[in-house]
Amino acid sequence: MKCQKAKDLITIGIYGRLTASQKQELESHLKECPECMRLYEKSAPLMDLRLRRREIPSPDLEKSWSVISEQTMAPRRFPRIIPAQKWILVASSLLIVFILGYFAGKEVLKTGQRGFPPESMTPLSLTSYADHLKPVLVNFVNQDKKETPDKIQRLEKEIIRDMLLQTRLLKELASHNGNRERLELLQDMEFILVSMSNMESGDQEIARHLARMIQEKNISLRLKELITVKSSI
Amino acid sequence: MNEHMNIVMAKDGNPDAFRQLYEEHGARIFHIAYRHTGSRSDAEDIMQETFIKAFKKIHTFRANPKNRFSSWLNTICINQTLDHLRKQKRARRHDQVSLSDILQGIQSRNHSPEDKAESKQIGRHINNALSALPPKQHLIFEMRYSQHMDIKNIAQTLRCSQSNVKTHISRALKKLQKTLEPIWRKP
Repeated sequence: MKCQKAKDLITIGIYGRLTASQKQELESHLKECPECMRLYEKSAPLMDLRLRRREIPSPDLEKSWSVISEQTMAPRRFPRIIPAQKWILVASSLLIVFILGYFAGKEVLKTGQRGFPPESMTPLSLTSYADHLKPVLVNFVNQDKKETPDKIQRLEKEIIRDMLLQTRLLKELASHNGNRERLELLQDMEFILVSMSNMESGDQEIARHLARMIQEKNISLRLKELITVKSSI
Repeated sequence: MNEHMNIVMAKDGNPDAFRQLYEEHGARIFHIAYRHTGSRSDAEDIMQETFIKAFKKIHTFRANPKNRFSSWLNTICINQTLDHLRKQKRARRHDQVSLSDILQGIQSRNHSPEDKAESKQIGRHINNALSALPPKQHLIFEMRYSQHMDIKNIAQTLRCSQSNVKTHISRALKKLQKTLEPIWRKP
């Protein structure tokens, strides 16, 4: 055995307890090593002192039980949520957030407030605006919503929303320049596009009403005139 | 009624089953806590906290040959003890009398700390030296050299690697030897 191991065993003898085999190991080293023997003799009064002090007392089990039962068997204030309930709770929270988000978005689109149109968007020229708008209106007046696939309807809605943003930008410009005729046309367009954007796929009556409005208000003709007037100037 | 039935019934909130499990394991848990703290009131506190935690979490216990209820309870007890030692370390006041001075007093008379006051003083000093170790080192040292648990068992109980346990033991031995050096160095 090396002297360091003997030192370790003396330390264990003071701060812990030596096993019989450890004691034997240490004793045989001490017989051969006077230096370790010197350390051992200095430490001997401290060894096994912890063992002598440590007679394990008996606990007061009854007293402790009253504390334990009071803490664990008191009626629960809130019922424990079982895993299935937890999932229902999470799913309904997500659904609520989704519904609120949907209506909030719809409301903002309707009122045109808070960030609409975005500042980063640049307005189209009147010619491109009319070019973009014409097929949207023609398609809307002529098509049968029931037969249009969902994917196409979603795409149409996105185009309508883009056109709505453009209409609002141009409306602001017209209002700034004091162009009344153009402002009136763009206000009519805004109303039509907002109605188209919020329209559900089954709203046949509203669709018919809007189609009639587009025709009665001569939207296509007014757009054409507007472009002609602009180009002649 | 066997332990398995008691666990099943305790999971269902049966107070008699809780009581039976407590009666079966209470004294053992107290002994573990006492061996690490050396104080009856601290050991009782740890025992209570262990059972409160175990009963509150009993629905998470899954019995299998590798995970017996007694081992599960031991692990909770060891963790509670570790928390307790950490709290104690923060609140501890150190003994100002050096071990070397106490020992000199003993050796000048009859080479044995027969006097009760001296014996108490040494005991306190030894406990302070152990408590000055980081709580995990203290606990591992006690598990290894007071309870003679093997390295593998300690690692399993504390959920750490065996090499981690060995490192803690070697560091603890070095620190404790430093407290003995003034005695050893004296001619």
